[in-house]
Amino acid sequence: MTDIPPTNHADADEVVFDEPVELGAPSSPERTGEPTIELRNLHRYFGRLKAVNAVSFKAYAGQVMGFIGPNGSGKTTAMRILSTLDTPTAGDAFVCGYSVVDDPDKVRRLIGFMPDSFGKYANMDVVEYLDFFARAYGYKGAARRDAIERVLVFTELRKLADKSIDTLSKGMSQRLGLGRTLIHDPQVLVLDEPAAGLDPRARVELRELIHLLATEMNKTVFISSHILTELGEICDSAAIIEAGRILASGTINEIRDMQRESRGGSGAETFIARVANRVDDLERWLLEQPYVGLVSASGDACSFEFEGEQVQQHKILKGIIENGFELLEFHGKTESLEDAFMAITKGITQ
Amino acid sequence: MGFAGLKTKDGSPSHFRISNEDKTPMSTGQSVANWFERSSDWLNAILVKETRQALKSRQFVITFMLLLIASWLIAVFGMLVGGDAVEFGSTGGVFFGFYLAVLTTAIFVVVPFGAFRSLLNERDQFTYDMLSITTLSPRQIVMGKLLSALVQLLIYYSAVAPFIAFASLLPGFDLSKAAFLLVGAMSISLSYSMFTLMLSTFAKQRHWQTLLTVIVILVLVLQQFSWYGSITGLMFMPFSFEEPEFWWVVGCYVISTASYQMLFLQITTAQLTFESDNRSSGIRLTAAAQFWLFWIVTIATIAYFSGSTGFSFPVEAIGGLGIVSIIHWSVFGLFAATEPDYLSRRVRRNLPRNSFLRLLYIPFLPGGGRGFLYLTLHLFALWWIAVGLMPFTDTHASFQSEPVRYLINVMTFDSAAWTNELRVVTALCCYVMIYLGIGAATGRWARVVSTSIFPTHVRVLTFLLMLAAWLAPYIPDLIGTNYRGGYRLLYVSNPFSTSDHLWSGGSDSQAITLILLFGAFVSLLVNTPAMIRGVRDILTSRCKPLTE
Repeated sequence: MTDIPPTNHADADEVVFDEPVELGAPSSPERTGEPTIELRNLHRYFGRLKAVNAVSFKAYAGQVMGFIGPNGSGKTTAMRILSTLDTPTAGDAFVCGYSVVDDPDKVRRLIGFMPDSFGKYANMDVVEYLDFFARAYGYKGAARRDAIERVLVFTELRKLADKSIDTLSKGMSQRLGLGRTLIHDPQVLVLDEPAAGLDPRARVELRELIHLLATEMNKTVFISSHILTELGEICDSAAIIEAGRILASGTINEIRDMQRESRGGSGAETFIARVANRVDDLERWLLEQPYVGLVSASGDACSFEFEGEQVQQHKILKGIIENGFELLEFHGKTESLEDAFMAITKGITQ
Repeated sequence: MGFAGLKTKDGSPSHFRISNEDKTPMSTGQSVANWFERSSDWLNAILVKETRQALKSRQFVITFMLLLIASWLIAVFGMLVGGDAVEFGSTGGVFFGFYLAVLTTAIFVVVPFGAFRSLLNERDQFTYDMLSITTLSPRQIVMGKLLSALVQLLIYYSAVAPFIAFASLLPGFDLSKAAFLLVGAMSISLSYSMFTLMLSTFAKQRHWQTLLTVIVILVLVLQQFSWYGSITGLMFMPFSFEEPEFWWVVGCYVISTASYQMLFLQITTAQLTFESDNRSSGIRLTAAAQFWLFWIVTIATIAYFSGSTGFSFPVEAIGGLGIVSIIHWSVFGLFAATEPDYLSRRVRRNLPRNSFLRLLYIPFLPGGGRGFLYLTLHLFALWWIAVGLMPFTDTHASFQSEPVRYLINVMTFDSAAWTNELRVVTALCCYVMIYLGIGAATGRWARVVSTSIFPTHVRVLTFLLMLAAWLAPYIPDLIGTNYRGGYRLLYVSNPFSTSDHLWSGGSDSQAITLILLFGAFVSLLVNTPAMIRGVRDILTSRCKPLTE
């Protein structure tokens, strides 16, 4: 049994909690100062189901952090706890240093949560909708009008300001949802599947908005999505969760490294050389070179693992050309977030 | 950089304005509109939203139009049918009765149902999550919903107002009575709305929501039919506005209604309150206030109506009112005593700093141990009220000058001091202590055994336990052949037959009282450690605020 203090559960001290997994926080050198999001050994049990189990990680201002996991892995539960919509069985979550259990009121001023499916009020237009939430956050008079104005400008909903929200398209509704989340200018944004159901254009536009929020406004964006290629493009860090437990957490590069390690790799990078002639000769030639291992030819391309530094890499490239191979393409193979996700997760469902 | 510094995509600051704030002279209409806009800053956000939504809703427009059409038809057909006779008799009162019937259909059915659906829809359409993470408190949300019901109510009144004005010009229209009935109807409608708002917070799953919706509609419609009958009676009933007794009764009604409205508000707020926050104290304080108000108002009423003959409390009233109080404490005690003992850090942090105030506040703080203490203290208070009033009854008037002697006689179990009514009140207090004590202790034990036990399970278990204990003594009678009727000591676990037996002055009343007092004492002993823990937990708790 751990010494985790129970937070809300009546007899949480009777529950045997799983040991926390020690995972490093995203360790980019620029991430200094206090974390804006911190999940500290968070547990949420529903009866015997361990929806969130010893989850810990941190995120910082200006960071877009992806939260990746299969359906039912505990993403939404963790996000709901972080947004003060649910309480942990044990452990705690902090937003800008405020506990979601002890200080939900303060956390609510600092956080903007966009759930995966948020309902729309009937008989209400876009401005009235934003006006209501501005009022709900205590904005008055000119401050309220300015807040609405900024959101309309940022989300480019000005033209639709007087339109009934019932008639908005999915993309526009998501924009409105994001606008509602931003109305009180929160430091931390928690977006649960914001791109779900959007067409490609709307997805790209949403991605731009999210990028702008992190880079221009120094906000922390904590985002979950099933579209991992997209997350890989906008996130600078990620946490992978499965069956309630965090399997990997860190910058995208750190997660890719973990993937390589999980495959038993020694840190070698994979390169691909495409040539117009003599692929078999190239394969043989590569096998004779230092720092090269595991070479395979397929079609007009040869892929090989390489453990050397950039200088040796340059020599290999030069050697290919000097040995008369007609090189068409030479590049390193980037491991995608999707690859990392597939390698790290085991497909466990609860 | 925060969101406040945001520029448009081309980098220029935005100049878009929602409201018209240019410097051109404004018309009176615009000035009034702007004044309303500014004033609305100070209104509840939910009220503003709900009013905007309601005024655009089809339901509101249809109800409003139907009200107008029905009132217009009443006026036209009334005039046609009545002919010249409308200028004589009490046609004003009859017209008003019809308008009141139409109005109450809207305000007793449509408005409370609208309030019910409005909160239910927040959950149903996934908007409540977004609402609950704003800075609006649960109380503000509930008050906003209630106030928007009031606004709709006033608009419906305004629809019927011209027709009531027309009725007032006819003979037989009693302005005071009409005003009284209209204000009364408004208060009833608001009470219904508050009650339906509370109900809506209990149904969290779709199938319960559907069931509850059907029940609420049925109950509202059925009560409306009973109102149609009552309105006819009210039209012809003389109202004695000049008699103080009339206003005394109205005052009692207002106090009891207000106390229940407060209770419903507290329950609704608690249902919407964040799990780690204090969901219990408001309800406990209101229930205690209701109990004390009930006795104060009752004693004051009896004193008032006793007049010059001197204060005399009917001995039967002690038993009857005691039973009402026992029912009150059975319900609230069940909820308070079966709560989990854990006190969240958030509640702990908001404890009073002053030690004395903290001590006073202990019974009202969440937790089962403190809940049982809360129950015990109030049952003691009830018993003392019953004992204290006894010398003021006709049967024990001789003790009026010697209340201490009466008390000594009670404590020494002098049969003359123990009236049947006092025995009933004592027995019922003991039953509540015993059953809820067993429930609280079982709940604590069950929570140790399994973490899947929640307060609702404990409450259901306690109720089933009580039911079993009430019915068990009759099983031998049902299966045996030698049942001869009458009360037997075996029935002591059944509060109903025992109270009936005590009320009628059974020969073994003394023995039954002692058995029940012993049972209550054991229950108190079993729960004492939990109560001590509950008190110690508060007294030793550090409540340092978190650093800002």
